[in-house]
Amino acid sequence: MSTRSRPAGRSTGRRRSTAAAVAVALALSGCSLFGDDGGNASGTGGDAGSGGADGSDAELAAEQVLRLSSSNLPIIDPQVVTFGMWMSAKGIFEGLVVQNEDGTDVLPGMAESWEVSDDGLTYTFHIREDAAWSNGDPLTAEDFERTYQRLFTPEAGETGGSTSGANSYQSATNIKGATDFLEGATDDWSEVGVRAVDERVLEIEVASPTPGFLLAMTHPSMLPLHMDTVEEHPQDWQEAEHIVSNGPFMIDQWVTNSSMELVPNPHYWDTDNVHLDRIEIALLEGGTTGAATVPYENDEVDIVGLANADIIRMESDPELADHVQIAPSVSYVYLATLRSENPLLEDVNIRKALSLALDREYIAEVTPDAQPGRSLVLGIVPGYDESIEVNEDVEEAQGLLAEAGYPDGEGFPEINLLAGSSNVDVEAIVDSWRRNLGIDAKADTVETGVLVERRWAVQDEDYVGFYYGSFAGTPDWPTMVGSLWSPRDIQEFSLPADVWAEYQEVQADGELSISERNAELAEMLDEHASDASHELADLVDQAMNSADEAEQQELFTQAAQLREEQHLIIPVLWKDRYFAVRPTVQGLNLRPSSDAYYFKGISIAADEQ
Amino acid sequence: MSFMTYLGKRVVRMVLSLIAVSAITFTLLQMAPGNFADIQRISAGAAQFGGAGTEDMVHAFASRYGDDIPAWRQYLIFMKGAATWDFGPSYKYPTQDVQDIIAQGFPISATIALIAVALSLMIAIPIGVYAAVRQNSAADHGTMFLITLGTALPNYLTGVILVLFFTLTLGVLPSSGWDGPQHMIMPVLALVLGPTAVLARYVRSSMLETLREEYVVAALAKGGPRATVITRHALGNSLIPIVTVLGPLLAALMTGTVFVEALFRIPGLGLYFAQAAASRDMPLLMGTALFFALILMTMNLIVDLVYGYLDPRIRAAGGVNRWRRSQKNPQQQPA
Repeated sequence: MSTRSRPAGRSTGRRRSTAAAVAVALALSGCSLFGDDGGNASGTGGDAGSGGADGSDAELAAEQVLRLSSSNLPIIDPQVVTFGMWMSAKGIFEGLVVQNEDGTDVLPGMAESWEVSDDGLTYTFHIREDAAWSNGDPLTAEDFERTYQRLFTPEAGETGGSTSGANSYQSATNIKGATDFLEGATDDWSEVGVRAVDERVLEIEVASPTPGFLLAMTHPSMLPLHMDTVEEHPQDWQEAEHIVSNGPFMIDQWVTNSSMELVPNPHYWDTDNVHLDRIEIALLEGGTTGAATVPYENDEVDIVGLANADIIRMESDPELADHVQIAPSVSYVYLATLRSENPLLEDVNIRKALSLALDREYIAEVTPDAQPGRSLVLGIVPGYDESIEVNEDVEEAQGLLAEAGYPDGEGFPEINLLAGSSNVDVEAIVDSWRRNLGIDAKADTVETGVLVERRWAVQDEDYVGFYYGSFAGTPDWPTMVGSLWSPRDIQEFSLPADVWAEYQEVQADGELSISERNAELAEMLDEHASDASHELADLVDQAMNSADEAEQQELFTQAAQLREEQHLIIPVLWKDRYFAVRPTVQGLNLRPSSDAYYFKGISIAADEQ
Repeated sequence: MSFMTYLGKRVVRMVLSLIAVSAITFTLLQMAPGNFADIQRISAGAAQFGGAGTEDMVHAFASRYGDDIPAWRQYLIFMKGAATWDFGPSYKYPTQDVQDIIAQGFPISATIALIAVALSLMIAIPIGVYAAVRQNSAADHGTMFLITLGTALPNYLTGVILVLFFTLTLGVLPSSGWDGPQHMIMPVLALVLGPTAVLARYVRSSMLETLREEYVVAALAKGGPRATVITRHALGNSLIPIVTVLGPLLAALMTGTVFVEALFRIPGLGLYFAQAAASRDMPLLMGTALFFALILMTMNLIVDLVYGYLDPRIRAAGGVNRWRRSQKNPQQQPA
């Protein structure tokens, strides 16, 4: 590979292909410019990733500056679901523990050590002595307790947002009493299993032995906040002039909608492993991420996230192909059943036929960053078992349709695929149904606001189908079975359309207190949700409470299998994340996590290797 | 009618228009499908959906307005704040008050707009005059054809072409960002084309009209040098109608240009406005919409006042001259 020759040393051919690709990407993305790639942000964000060459002994460049581009982030509050929380986790804040190299286990972070009680219910974290905030304040166990209290407090909306965005992670951490506190069943903080024993000892109790608890603690929502600052500047604490953080880097400058600059935190405990003097982050608006590769090819950024056509183009470019790096999958594409006055899809066999008829190989082939996904549990989850997968079988699907009274798809209503952006995989899914079942199918692409409203509404008699979406989550069993499409979700999806309409009315009923509302909803689920969904809830409950790891694994597998057999949510693709990484970037490692990598440990080599 | 009475009337009318704009914007937003919290979740793509959590989140976002208060009261609370230039925090950018976002974003958008319009004028006037004095010649048709192309080419496409040329081919300009003068070049160039085309056409037709005026014909008949007659006698008066176009044009650019700002990562106001609408961020959308309306109306007012100054006949007629008004045709800025 040539050294230091860009951009002048480019061949004309490549320039031309770049030009064409940019033009196409922009033309395609123009329509969704301010539509925030509805429903698919996790996969296509212009977020940066990495993984450098291994030559860690390479001579370092005089200027240790890492230049990135990221999806635009309005805020970085790690407790609110935005791209900002992943930026926080990359190295602005640091939790008790951090993920290891392959993202399967944890390493010490703010806690230098920890113990688990014999019954597996109590974790005792020992905060390191030199743990400090970027303003020099010592970081204590109490900081964590106060932060988690903010996280679990319902409607703690003082910062203008809400922390409830993070509540979906509760099943992964399984902290005792957290859900009750969050749902308003109790307002007694002492009932929640988080306790600062002294300045340096934090005790966390879980409701039941929880596999993956430590890994779940690496989620952004569990990062500590400098609560004095948060309370003093409830609105502005995240801004560069106020923010106090504890990660290896801190925010030096932040121009909203344009750029962010990070510098090393002088009070960080492990400065020996912080090599960068500055991190410059270009914030790109969602729909323009197609243009993100232009700054990369113009040597303005070192790491860039790739999507769709850019992946194909880079991989087929002899010079750039080496720059492409792949982070294993953390997200999947699913189809969720839409409720309709037409009961067609309330028949599990029809849903099954539609799932079995999907040609996932073909759909993955047209989607550059995806592989076939036959389960809602990602294949990288430890102990993954193929027995839970959907077995595609077109003949069986045709047979099921015939049994239901639609031989060769005759008389079968049109199936709609409601989506927030017109992705190529959406078209491939529709095409797959048409070809394999001989039925009518249609992609119904709508604006994001329309999507969020219509996907939970009860559709008219003449509208049946699914909505398209994608999810990202920690690849472990409690998340993949207990949280992302939790038993409760499945119960809700199994409700008949009329009950679902009533259920939503209760949800929106402002007259009821949170606990009254939850009680009423639980009652409706008890009465009307399917038997299988109740069985699923039992299995997950047993799994979460099992102390025996093998047994627990077995129970989660059974639960996943049962859930997948309902075909209420149909898995389609597992998505990987693609990045272009300049060869000068050293010491990066991509993990199967939405934050993709940590800033710590990264350095810049003097020359391309 | 005295000047002050005229001004007073105009200001009252502006306030009424602002109230109408706010009511219409608010109503449309209420009618639009989806809400901020739901859209935020699906856009951030991280996890979870639905359930009781979302409801809580919606309530929390409305917290400035109190839980569960009817929409009309939210409107009144917002308007009460707006009257004192306090729009409250944005939903999408909760760390910032809307008036602060405007205070930061507007100068940036306005700078680009002023440079772009000034540059447009410098190009458009010579072109327009040139085409007019050679009316119906090949040169006239040629320039007007190119100018029409300019009107047809949207600024985001121009922007992409500029990036391809200056960044990827020549490698002389950074692709995007907002750090110094080098970051201004491409956005300004992308914005210049449309206004230039509009202005050049105006200059041309206005010049043609003036050239037929008796005083110009007389000056030429007296044997005055053609160039002097055109620059000294005709040009000044032909530019008066341009002022009417300039106001709305400047207002349209100053309030931000969504695509150009997004493409070049310029932290201007246009991008905020577009995001506010897409994410149903009520305070930000209302605040920016009202501000845009205010700018547009102020520009129109200034144009009318300047017009009166430039053309004494209008002043004599009391400033509100129906005939002159009918000539004004505020140009819609090509997106």
